[in-house]
Amino acid sequence: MSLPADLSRFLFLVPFVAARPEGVSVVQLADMLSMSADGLRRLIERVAMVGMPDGGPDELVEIYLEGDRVFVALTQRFTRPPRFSVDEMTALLLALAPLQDLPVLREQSKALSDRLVALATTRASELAPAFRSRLVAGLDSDDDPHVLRTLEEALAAKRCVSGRYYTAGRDAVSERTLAPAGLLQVRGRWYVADASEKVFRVDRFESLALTDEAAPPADVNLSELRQRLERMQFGGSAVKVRIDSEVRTIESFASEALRRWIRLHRGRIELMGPDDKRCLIAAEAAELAQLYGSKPSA
Amino acid sequence: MDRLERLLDLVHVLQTARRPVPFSALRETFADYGEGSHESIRRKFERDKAELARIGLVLRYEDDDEGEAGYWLDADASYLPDFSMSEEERAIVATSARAALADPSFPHRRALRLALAKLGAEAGDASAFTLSHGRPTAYSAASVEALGGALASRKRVRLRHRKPGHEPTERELDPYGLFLRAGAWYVVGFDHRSKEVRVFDLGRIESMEVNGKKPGAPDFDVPDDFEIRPLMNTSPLRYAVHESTAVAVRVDEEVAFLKKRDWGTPEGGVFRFSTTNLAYVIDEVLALGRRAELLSPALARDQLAAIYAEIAAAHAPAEEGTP
Repeated sequence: MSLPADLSRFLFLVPFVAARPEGVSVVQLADMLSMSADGLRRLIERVAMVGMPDGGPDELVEIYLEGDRVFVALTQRFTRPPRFSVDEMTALLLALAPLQDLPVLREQSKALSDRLVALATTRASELAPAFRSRLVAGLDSDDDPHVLRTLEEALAAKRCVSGRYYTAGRDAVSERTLAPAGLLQVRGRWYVADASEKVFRVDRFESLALTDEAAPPADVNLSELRQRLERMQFGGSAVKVRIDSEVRTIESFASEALRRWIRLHRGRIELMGPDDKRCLIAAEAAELAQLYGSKPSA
Repeated sequence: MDRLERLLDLVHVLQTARRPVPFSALRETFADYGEGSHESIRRKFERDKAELARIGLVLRYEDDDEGEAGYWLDADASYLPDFSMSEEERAIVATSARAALADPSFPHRRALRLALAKLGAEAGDASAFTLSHGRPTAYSAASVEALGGALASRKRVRLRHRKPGHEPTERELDPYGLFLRAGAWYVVGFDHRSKEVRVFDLGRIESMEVNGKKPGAPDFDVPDDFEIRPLMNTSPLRYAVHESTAVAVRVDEEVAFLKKRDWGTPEGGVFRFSTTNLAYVIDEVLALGRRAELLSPALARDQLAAIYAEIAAAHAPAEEGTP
């Protein structure tokens, strides 16, 4: 392990462990410090004599292992962790950056970022302005700020929203009223989940406005919805496809989303079944092949 | 003496002393500073000071009340002050951190975990929103961190970049900025090969080396008027794939709003714009299916006809007698 990393670890772990008279488990502390349990044990052995050189036991930091726990009995003024390093500050700013999309949360997130920068080392604070403007995460210009603001306001006021929404799975635009239960960002794209756990892509709202209707209390598991979005598991039923020469079963595709997916793969994917969906794809493709084989429409 | 122990002892001595500690006193206290020529001991001490400065500890040198000069550790400048967060702020940090830590390509994840521990915060989902960076396997955190370091120290980078369907090219790049958009990391900088500012997808960089010569001296300046956000928000329509070509696409009025941000305002139901990336337009038209018709250029219509003919052939009912 590198010297700066071990210095930073010691300076963090002494006040952290000292604040917990019951000690901290080696595994938990090693995980927190991104090192192995054995590495942590070795580090503790190396720093067992830190304090006043040639000083007596009461002039040393008293750090020891007892079973699978670490204890600190004497801190010798190592009572606060060091300020944020350049890497720590960069990581915090980058992690918070995707929230800059949300008009209401943006201010709160920016104010928090400012407070965190004030906790950084001098070098990190000096670099912060350049990093904030040149190292950026998560902004997605495709999402309408007005729609995002409306959704944030609806969540805060616990009110319903209504607007025109394009449902790609059905290839249809319709009026929707929904009770927002949470916002999700997946792959840089924002979604809103409603109380019935339906998920809507923010960029597919043509319009959206707050209503006077109160949103019913919702108990929506956003983490689970996010995981479903990450795995693209929404709507439809399992289908069998051939991708190049390999046959695979693909879970949960809404009908129109399946057709779009096949179109976008430009003939590399063949739907093996069911037959009715296969026929629909064949008919649509034949119709469009004919359209593009003719002169453009007037 | 183990250098780690010596450095920590030095911190201890300088933060507990009641008055600045002269170098002569440090030489008496530390056996490691006691042997050798004055110059070599001084160099050793300067290296130790630099190591402590590297992790953000602030050592100051000044006169004490009796006019004797010495060193002391500025605890306020070195250590975190008391800090508390509201419930809402904890939710913001927790959710943002959970998304970052779940993304193996996120740079400085170890540092983020330590920062969270310092704040007494934990990663987790808030009640009102959640985040996910996506495309987690396409990038290595090491390359994002290396570019972040090059960006901070303004060091030139030699990289090997491969465009799909092309041979890789070697390039020298002055990195001006890094951004994450829709789950993909990009580096922006002055490309010495093309002599212009270019954007590169990190997923297409096969290898990379930061100039290690003169680490303390920057290799370039970032132009005062450089702004990353316009480059981040460049539509794929503007990616330099070929010469600019005019495009016309008719889109059903009901779904035309989906394309207005990228393609402008339609007239009579037809979007007219130019692009240097026709393949992207074809993808967009394919996504819209029957809802759109690409009217021109003819070359793109021919490609669409061929694509649909292939899909139709692949899904045509099997003739009797064929397996």
